[in-house]
Amino acid sequence: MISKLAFRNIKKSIKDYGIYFFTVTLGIALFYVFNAVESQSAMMYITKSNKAIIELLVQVISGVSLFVSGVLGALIIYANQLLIKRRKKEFGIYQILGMGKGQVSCLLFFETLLVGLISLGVGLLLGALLSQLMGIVLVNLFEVNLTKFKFVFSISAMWKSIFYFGIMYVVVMVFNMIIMSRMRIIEMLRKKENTKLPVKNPIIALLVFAAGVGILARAYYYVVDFNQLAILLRGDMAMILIPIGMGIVSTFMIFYSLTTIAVLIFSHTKSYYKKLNAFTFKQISSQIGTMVTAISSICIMLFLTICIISTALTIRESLNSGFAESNPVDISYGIVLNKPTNDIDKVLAGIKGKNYDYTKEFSRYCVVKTYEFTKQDFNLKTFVGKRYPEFKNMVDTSMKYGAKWHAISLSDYNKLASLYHIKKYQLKDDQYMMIRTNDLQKELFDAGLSEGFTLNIDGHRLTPKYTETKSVSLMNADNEAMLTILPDSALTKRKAYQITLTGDYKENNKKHAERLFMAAIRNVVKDKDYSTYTSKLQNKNDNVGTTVLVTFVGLYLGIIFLLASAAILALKSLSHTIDSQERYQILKKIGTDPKDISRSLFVQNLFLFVTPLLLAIIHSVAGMKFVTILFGATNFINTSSLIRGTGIMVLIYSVFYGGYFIITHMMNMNIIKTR
Amino acid sequence: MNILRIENVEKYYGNKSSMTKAIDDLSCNVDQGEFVAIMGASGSGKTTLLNCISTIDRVTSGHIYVKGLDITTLKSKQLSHFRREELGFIFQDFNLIDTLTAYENIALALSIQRKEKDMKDRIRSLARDLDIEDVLNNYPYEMSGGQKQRVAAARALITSPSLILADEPTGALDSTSSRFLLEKMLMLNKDYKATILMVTHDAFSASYANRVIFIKDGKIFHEIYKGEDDRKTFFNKIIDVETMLGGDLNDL
Ligand SMILES: Nc1ncnc2c1ncn2[C@@H]1O[C@H](COP(=O)(O)OP(=O)(O)OP(=O)(O)O)[C@@H](O)[C@H]1O
Ligand SMILES: [Mg+2]
Repeated sequence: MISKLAFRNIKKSIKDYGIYFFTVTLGIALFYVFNAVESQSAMMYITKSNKAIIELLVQVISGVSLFVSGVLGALIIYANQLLIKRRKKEFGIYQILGMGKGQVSCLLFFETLLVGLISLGVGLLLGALLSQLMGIVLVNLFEVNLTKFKFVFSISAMWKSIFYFGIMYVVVMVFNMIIMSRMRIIEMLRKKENTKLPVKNPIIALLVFAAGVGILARAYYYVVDFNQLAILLRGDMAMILIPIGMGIVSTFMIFYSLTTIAVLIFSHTKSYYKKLNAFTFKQISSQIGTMVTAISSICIMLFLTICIISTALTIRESLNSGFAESNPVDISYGIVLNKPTNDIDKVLAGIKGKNYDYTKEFSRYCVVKTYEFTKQDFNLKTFVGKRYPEFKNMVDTSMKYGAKWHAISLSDYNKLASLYHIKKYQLKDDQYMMIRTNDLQKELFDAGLSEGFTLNIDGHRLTPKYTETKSVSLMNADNEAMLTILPDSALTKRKAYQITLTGDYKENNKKHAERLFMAAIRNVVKDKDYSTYTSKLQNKNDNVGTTVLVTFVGLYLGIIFLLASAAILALKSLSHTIDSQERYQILKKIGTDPKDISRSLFVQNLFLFVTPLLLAIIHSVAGMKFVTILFGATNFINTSSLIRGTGIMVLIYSVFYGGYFIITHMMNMNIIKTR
Repeated sequence: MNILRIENVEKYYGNKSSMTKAIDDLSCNVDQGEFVAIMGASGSGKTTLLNCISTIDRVTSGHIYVKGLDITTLKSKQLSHFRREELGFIFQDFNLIDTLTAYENIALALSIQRKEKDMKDRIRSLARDLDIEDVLNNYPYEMSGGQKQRVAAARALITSPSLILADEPTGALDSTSSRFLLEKMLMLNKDYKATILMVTHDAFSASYANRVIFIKDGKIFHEIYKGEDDRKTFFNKIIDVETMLGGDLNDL
């Protein structure tokens, strides 16, 4: 009997809350898919560096999965509580009809068990299918050859999903039991009185709101201002929790007071009594007023989603778009000399012989010399001159660790420039200039140049041609952040401290060419010299790895958060509409235009979905600013990729969030139509 | 002129195996400006009849004409338009929206008709007449049953509809407020030529009408006209019919 009743009840609620079951199922599916990545990799041939990346990916994903299961667990528990609250009356009637409390709990237990089993089963099935898609994506990303398509099912990921979600459902059952045993029949049957605002007193509401906005503004100021952030984080990175905590508290305060303030403002306007406005407004405020905690958490989750997804996508875009630009040649190989010399042929003898001749193996190349400044040539403190106080920290650290500064001759630079297809420069004999390959120390060196610092190299007095450093993308063997270009005439008495060979392999099979080159350079370096290189091929592998890591983890977290928040909103909206059915019937009876009713429903739903999103977007502007500061010095984030990343994020959002919104609206319309 | 013509209306509830004939081949006419009371035992089909006229429910067969328009054939959009423009409905169970205050409930009737002009003054004066001024800012759950009924009446009357359908409008009222409401309806009937159809269980309320129709098992059983009588005489006549009809109505 009870199991029959349980089946019937589930069938009934699936109709109303299908969107919630769908979300949980999808959540389980995603959980499985990402945890099954490991077994995907097993089926393909993967290079060593890729293997390391995938291992890292698997580790990160299982860490993140803990978090994800927490979010999904919260969704399930929250949704379950909502469903029970809604069914209070039904349970009361069961008891009046003579069912014992134990039996009702038993019924609930069966229902939860059934829902759990169904969603787990369907979720795993869906996950297994989606996971094949994931396999294809992985194969394409790592450009590995897949010999034969094989259906992969990860037993470990399956057990993991069952374990995690099993625990969640057990927790839900315990929760249900507790709620059931606490409820008294009279409470169950009593009609819910119409809901009140969280705060009655408008003055208190205004104060809370103003305080919330104030705290929020302070929190924003902390994270968007570089200096503020530097001061805050000076002692301890954990201090970042302060603005985050402020943000959370203020979000709660704003939603706590929002409805009261809205009532205060809107009920005194003329349009309040236009059409169904008064009704619609009351619906919205009672809905938002009764879910302050939920809507605040949703707002924060949405904010996190926006930041996580756009950061991940932005990094991905930057890596992809910047790759060609920052890797213009196949290889750059440098030998740092213990004893400076200008004898290039002698240094490179090992790769210019019978076994290997780079002049034949390379299609285009150049060899350049780099010089090291002595302490007398260049002193950072005198370089920045009277602007030293501004950069005290940077300068002192640099000097303390004995940072070295390097130079290259103008003709060598221009050789490289023509190889890289970048801008060439001209210098007079008494001029010098500086180039930078990243923005880490841009301000510092710009300051020195604008002060007009005069270099003295072996009696040649040189003044800066430009008042700022020029940004150049050099694929340099040692990835110098700052390089000085000097006219050739100033360097005649100097000896090179590094010799660098840069160029493209002639052979089309780059993998093979690189293997040959790597074999050849093994015995080039003599005694105390040492060599470094950067290779396009290896960079590309690393790039793919980072891209995969960032995108997978970002999308996994982001989409789960997004799904969970949208599902809670949808659930709230649907149960609110079901609770309000009687009101819609009355509206119909007194002859309200059906168009006005559906418009009212639409507006209610819109407000529910848009209000937390709006604040989340405002949060995200600050959040993304913070992220750009965080990554600002590196090449991970640039404006155009930020725009593209954000664009894709908006697209993902419109699909998921917009989809939930539209489906919820249609289901709402259906609820008031059919009953 | 007939404002309302009911022709052979039948209304069945349920399915083939267990069927209730709530209205059984009922026909009658109501003239413009009439005040008709409908009496009958509980379950005799009064609410069903009103629901069919107000197009909240659909007839199983037969036709209902309002101002010559066959409302049984209207589409849902026209139906809501018809209800909005022509009808004032006072429901047996009030049907107030619980999230709106009394004032907002009354205002709703005006705003869905886009008649927001002079809203405040009109609601105030009607509320004064129905003695609900003090509860205008209360929510339904903060009002007594009688107050709710008067608010529901105010909502029906505020738009000065041409046809008022009232389902036991005085059921939850004490005699003073009953009289208030009835006087108000009478005033609308006399001064605004509103046609009124009122279901009631009590002879006193029925005596305000021009005509009383008695319904039994979904059929018209008897009807009496007030004619030139004063209310007291008419009241006695209604009591006479009730006693004459005996059993059925005695247990009301
Ligand atoms: N929605 C419905 N479904 C099935 N049967 C119904 C429905 N509504 C009314 N009935 C039946 O139709 C008959 C007439 O009901 P109706 O509500 O019209 O009675 P009434 O005369 O208004 O009674 P009362 O004086 O108690 O309000 C009753 O037998 C009732 O059980
Ligand atoms: Mg009735």
